[in-house]
Amino acid sequence: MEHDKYKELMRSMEKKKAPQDFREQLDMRLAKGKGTWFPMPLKIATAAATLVLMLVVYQNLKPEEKEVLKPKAGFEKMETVEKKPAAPKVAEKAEEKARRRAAIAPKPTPEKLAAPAVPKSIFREELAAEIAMDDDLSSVMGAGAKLSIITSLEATSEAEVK
Amino acid sequence: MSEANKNPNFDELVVEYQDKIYNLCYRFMGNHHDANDCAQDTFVKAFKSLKTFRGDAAISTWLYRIAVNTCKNKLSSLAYRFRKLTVAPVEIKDDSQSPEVQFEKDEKGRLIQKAIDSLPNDHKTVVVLRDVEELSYEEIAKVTGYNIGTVKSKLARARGRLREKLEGQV
Repeated sequence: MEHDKYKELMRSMEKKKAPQDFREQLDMRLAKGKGTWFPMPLKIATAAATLVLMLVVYQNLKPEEKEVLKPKAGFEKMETVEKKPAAPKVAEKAEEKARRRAAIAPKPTPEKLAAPAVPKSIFREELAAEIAMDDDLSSVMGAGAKLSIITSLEATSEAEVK
Repeated sequence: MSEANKNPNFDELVVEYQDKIYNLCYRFMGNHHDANDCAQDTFVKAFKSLKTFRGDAAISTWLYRIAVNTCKNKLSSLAYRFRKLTVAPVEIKDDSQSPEVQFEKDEKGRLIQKAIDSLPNDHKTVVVLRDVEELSYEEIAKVTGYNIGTVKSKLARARGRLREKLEGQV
């Protein structure tokens, strides 16, 4: 389409006129607008009151801290899977810490070290004697089984003494 | 005495510009109902801020600027877009001419309006202000806030699109 034809076409467009009651409608709007005028301080006060109300509601409905910290079901597994192996520095630090603890820990006194430990063989012999004297055991587990336990205990203690 | 009459300047403003503003709004919105609504809004806004008008620009430019912004806001509002989808606009017809002439004129006008409606808002603004309202490039630049070069390039692209759309139809 040529520019002249386009121009002609646009000029041929009808010039729309405002409706006859345009002015009355406008006056009505302006009058209505004045009736619903809301002063600025009141607007600010309303906004502040709304904000306070929202804060109060939020404080009341806010979930407790424990609940928030508690991991949800299903996430524990993910966390363990995502855990990376401890860095070498961390392992070194742990070793050093253990060494320090060992150094600080109270050493056994010389008296304790000097006291002779009770030999295990004596303990076994005593146990064998007790089993032999207990008549109830033979009725529960049988005389054969009781005898075999006693002989094995005595044999072990003898071997230890040797 | 009405609210508007208290300010004689405003009174003169409405008498002088109501048709121009209405026509501009009509070309923007494409129907009587929305055009009337936007034109009314334009004058209400002008009434409210007339005291703060500094007179840096011509009052007509200032009014056009308010009208263009009002129309753009309305076009992009959710309520308008929803209504456009659901309700068909009702047009007021002028019965002063013979039915054939009136039909032909209506049809041509409808096609041009449809082509204008399909343009993006910035193109629509410049084409309506230049080709319908016949404002100068400087005035359009003041109304829209674009540079004169931008106005010219947008106008060229808008006209190109309009010609493409109207080709073979009118």
